[in-house]
Amino acid sequence: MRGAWILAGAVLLGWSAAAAGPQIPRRPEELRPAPVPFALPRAEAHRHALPKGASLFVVSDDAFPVVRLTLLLPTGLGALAPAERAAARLAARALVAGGSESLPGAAFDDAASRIAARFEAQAEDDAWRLSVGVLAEDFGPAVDLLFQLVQSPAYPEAVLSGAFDGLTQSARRAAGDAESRLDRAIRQRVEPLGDPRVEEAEAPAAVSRDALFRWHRQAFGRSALQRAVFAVSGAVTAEQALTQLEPRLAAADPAPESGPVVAPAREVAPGLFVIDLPTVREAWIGIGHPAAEGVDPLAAQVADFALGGSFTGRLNSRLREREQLAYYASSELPLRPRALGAHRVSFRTAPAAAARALQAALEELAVWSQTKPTASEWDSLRQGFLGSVAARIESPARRAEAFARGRLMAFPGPRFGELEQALRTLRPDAVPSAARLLAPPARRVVVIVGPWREIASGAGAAGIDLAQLAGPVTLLP
Amino acid sequence: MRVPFGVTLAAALALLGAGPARGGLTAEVFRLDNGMTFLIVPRPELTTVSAGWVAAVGSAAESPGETGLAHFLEHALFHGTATLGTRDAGAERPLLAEEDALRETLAAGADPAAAARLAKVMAALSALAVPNELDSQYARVGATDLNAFTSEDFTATLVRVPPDRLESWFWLESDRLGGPVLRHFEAEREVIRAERRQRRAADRQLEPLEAAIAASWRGHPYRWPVMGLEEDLDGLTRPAAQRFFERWYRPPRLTAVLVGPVDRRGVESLARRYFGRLPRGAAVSPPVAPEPAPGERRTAISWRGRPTIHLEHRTVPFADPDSVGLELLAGVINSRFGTFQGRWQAGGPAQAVRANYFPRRLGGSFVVELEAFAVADFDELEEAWDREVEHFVQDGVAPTELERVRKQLRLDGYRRLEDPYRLTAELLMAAGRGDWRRVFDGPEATQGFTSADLRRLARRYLGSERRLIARWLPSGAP
Repeated sequence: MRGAWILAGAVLLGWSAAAAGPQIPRRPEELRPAPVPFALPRAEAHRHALPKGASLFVVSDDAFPVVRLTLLLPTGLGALAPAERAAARLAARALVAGGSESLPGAAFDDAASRIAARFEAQAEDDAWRLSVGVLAEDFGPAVDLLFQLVQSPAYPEAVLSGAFDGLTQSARRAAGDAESRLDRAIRQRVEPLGDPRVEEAEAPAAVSRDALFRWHRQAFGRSALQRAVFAVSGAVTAEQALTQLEPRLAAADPAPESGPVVAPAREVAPGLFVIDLPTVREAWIGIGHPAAEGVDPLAAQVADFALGGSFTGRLNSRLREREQLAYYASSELPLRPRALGAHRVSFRTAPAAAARALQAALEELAVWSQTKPTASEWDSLRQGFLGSVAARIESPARRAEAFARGRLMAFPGPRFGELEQALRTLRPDAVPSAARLLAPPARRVVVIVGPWREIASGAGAAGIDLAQLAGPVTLLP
Repeated sequence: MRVPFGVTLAAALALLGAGPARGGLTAEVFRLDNGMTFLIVPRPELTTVSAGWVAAVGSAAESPGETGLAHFLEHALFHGTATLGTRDAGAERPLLAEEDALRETLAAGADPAAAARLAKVMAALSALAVPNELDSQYARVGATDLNAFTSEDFTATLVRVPPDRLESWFWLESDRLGGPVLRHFEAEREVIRAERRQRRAADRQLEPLEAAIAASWRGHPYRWPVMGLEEDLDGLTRPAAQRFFERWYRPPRLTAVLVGPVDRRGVESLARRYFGRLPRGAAVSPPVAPEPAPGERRTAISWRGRPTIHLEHRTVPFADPDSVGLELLAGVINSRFGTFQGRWQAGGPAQAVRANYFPRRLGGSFVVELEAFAVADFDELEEAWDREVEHFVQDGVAPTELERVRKQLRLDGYRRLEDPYRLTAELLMAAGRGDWRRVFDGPEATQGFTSADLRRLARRYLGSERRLIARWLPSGAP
């Protein structure tokens, strides 16, 4: 019987029409889907006003008995003066570990552990984030603990010294890690936050405990908290969430009107920058461009999706599928407060193949900015882009937080439920137009991290002049 | 043109009943006549359907000399069928056969004429190929996150599909399970090489872990890595992958999972029409895995990290009830407020102690890592750990401490399931390991384990009878 199947597998003898129901079409394009409503949710439908200006987004889902509460503050690293950034980063490490005045250090940890509450704090580029995940039965006590951290943190000296050590160690680790080195080198050149002088000023040891408390009061003070956006998701209703949050915010002062801080644009010195790590077995390659101005945000996002936002993106099709030069190649276009961020392409490859892979990626960038998608590609792109947005917000926690971030950052362009309509009005030539603005060769920074001798020798063997390909070569320390 | 196969596939489905439900979720399961199982988790509030299938076969079904074949096949299954991925299947078929024959000739020794002919064949195949068509078909309908993964026990693939395009998933997946054409085999070998290089560069623990697993599971197919041994990669051939597929990818070993805005009736109807076409195939015995010989084993491995003692204890299959208890036991050892960490963190003999439980279909691994201050402390550290286990077997764990760990595991267990795509992946993995119900039962299942149970588990599994002691020495250490 299995022999018969082998033959069937080869010549499709096994594909009978269905035992029941309509005939199976010969190709998938011939399927005629029944219309099923597919609509991305609108953020506003989940928004609730909290006292004195703060916002709450609730995505209820009782599939599992868990709840997550996230607090986002507009005091991301990009919104802070250099001296404050170190405090913000230190606070993210020390707030939870340090506990509160009434439950300092291990006592807070103990109380959180009793209700299995997982607290996390992060200083991000655009927001300062504090979240807690907990079983639904312990939501109230978890909110109590979170507000203890916010309103009366302890920041004990012992915890601060541990946090200093932690930051120093992670900086050391990053210095030896190819991926971190690539990220830093690109950011330093195309992102406003990447200025090396800023990083020097961010030495955590320079932050005193007093300075940390000052930062905390500024970030979480009675009026500052009103600019926070809260996200609650899971087995909880909007009423339950409001009951927990409203009284805690009612006593605060109204916030002054203010929007998110927009990072300044910066000038870029283009070229090829190399970090020689002789013991690394791969070459890490990044191609960065500073944030574009005057580009339609939706067109830019769709264009980025076409280039490297998916497995079928042009970069991956070329580098992986056609030339087997990389396991995966992608691009990203972060959204920043009221603006698009710096566009970036990244991939890893064998050192000897790095020059060939870079050449192929740059060729794809050129094609991307010159040719518009065919009609069928365009349909796929729009569908794929919409699907990728749906996928990113499919879990309740991600959805609630995405809505909250959208509110906090005032991201440009249509979002979520507005996308489908907006995509209908977009035309295929928007892709190359946006691409030209996102990735102009004159503002291009290429960074290669890896064993330089092998990389250079691979370039020589392939007859590629790296300087001609990507600009003057600078070896970074 | 399609020719009816002539085999009547009965339309009736064997209803296996509803699965366990927690927190409002229901899981429904049915089986086609050909033995393929479908698991549906209706979630009408979602905007996409996460859909996938798992074949209960992985690297443990490979033979020595062809390790990595299951993973290679996972990659090769993305390159189309007689319908997708080619401009002319009829013209392509003899060329693929000729390519295989020429490669066999060249593997036996240099042959310039064969090499020249192979170059021509490859050019002709390239002209006929439609690269990446499976991905393109998914992208065309707005599907995202198409992915696949292989383990010792299973090979799975999943994707998110807009609900109005769900039939595309049935078309595409039944098409490739019905008759994949393993094109671009040599190109895929290079992609796999890149994947190996990338994983090794990213995870310095990978090499010592693989060495420890090889020593611990000596004589057992779990002893080689899922991606295979480096020396076997060049020898893997398309005919071998085709045979592997035909042997193992039969409906009785397949389980499909759909999570999202789907209804059982609609899914059943599509399942019957599309996957019902797959012939059941001959019964295949599951991989036979000899029980590794008892006794303690020792090995020393050099690595780029701190001095560490890696203790690997062989335990029970995934479906065994003790498997849940072992996860709880690992939680007790890791609990920051627990007895273990309390004694070992405050001036204890190790810098850190961590426990992990790795479940598998044929047998799990309970791993304890003791991070030493110095290599010279290794003997003392081993003795101290054995004393610690003896204490635990004697005294067990305090009820409050146990309750705290249980609660943490409940939270972690449910949080893993929150994302529908992740839930689908968890169901596929658990089905591949032999019991998908564990996914829904898991977070609450630890409630049934008492301190006495954990003492029993520690006595049974953490002793020296079934363990490997691997000493991980920092590179350059004596």
